[in-house]
Amino acid sequence: MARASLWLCALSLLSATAIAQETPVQRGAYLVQAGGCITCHTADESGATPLAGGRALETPFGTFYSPNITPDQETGIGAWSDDEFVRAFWEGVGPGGRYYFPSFPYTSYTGLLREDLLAMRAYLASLEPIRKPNREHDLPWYLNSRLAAAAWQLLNFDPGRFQGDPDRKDAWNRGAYLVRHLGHCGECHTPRGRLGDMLLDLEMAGTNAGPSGKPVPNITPHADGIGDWDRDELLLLLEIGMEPDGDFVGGSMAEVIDDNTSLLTPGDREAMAIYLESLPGLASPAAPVNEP
Amino acid sequence: MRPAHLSLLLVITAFTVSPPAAAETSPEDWGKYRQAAMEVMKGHISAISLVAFGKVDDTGYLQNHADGLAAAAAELGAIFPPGSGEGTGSLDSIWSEPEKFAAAVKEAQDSAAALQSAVASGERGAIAGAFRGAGGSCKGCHEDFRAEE
Repeated sequence: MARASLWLCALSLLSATAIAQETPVQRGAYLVQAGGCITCHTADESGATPLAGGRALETPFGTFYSPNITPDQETGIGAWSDDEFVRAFWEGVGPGGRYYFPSFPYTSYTGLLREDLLAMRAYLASLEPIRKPNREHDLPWYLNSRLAAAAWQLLNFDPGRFQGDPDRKDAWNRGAYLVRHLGHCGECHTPRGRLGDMLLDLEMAGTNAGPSGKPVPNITPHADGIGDWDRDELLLLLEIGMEPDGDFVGGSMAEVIDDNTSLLTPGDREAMAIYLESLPGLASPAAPVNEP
Repeated sequence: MRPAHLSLLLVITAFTVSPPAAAETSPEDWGKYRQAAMEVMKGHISAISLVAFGKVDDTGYLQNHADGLAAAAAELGAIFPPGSGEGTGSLDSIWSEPEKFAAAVKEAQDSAAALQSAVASGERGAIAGAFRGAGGSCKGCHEDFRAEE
């Protein structure tokens, strides 16, 4: 334990050195990109204001609408305190004890470091406030209550900060942080159980029915996944969206590349690749398992 | 043979051996045709990427691949006729937003032409840059107009 703490201290020092030239707002801007916030919190229509919410996420459990996270006092998150902001990510609970549905991927974000979250908050607070009321989720009656969200958390949520592995290199740990927590890749690439819980024994093994009902590929180093890919091919996928056979991804992964991975530093993309290559190779699960 | 006679002969030949008109082509066959056309582009793109990013030296035929990609891209505007989309993985937005689709096709063709020029210049940095541009147009089009499989 002491060793892990020491290591975390070293990591903080390292990242503090690397970003010494940056303000928290600049650092937060980068982290907001790496966290994929823009894709989901921006309406899916041309000319939509970034981060003002309103994007529909159609899932087997109903349609969720992302909220406004610009600093508007009434319709955005301008009135939140730092602690309220951090709690939303760490515990999946908003101001006033409002439980979130896991359409907000706090199940992954729970691992984020407080200093990173506060930098993200500083960046979001620097944006122009947009007055745009949130749209209510469209859910079946048995889910249409925050009590349902609270019950879901009780059954399926394991909160906790990212604990690096001191026996691994910094790049691997950075990759783990980006893939499992900030980039929340598993929210789409990990199959889910009947309650929409991520099946962590099959982490990143892909699914026939992702969050929007579409297949999502296996990204573990198995023949069903990225077992045949080399490092450069992985990096090219994350940077420009090309698969080794010359195809280009479309759909939601194209958005992830546009809004997130193409904007990362080459070092961060490499860290993600290093981490993905280190995962156990898993066969793709045969059938969709997330029918509610 | 006089040129006029040659032309007449060609016209007659075209009419007698031409395949059935596109109006009779099923969406399924259009889908197969588009798939084949895309496979051609994928092959050129994959080959160009291996050279552009320094994995394989130019065999002397890189320009052929760039030319082939541009030639394949030239066809993009002709292989999505109205009514040919059902069950093929093409999104309805191709036909419901024709101006947006036409702009995407033009971008693909322009970026393929830019890649041709970059390859002709022989500068690896320029080739890699133009390749990224062409790739961006592939991704953009798939994002807006191809169904997630």
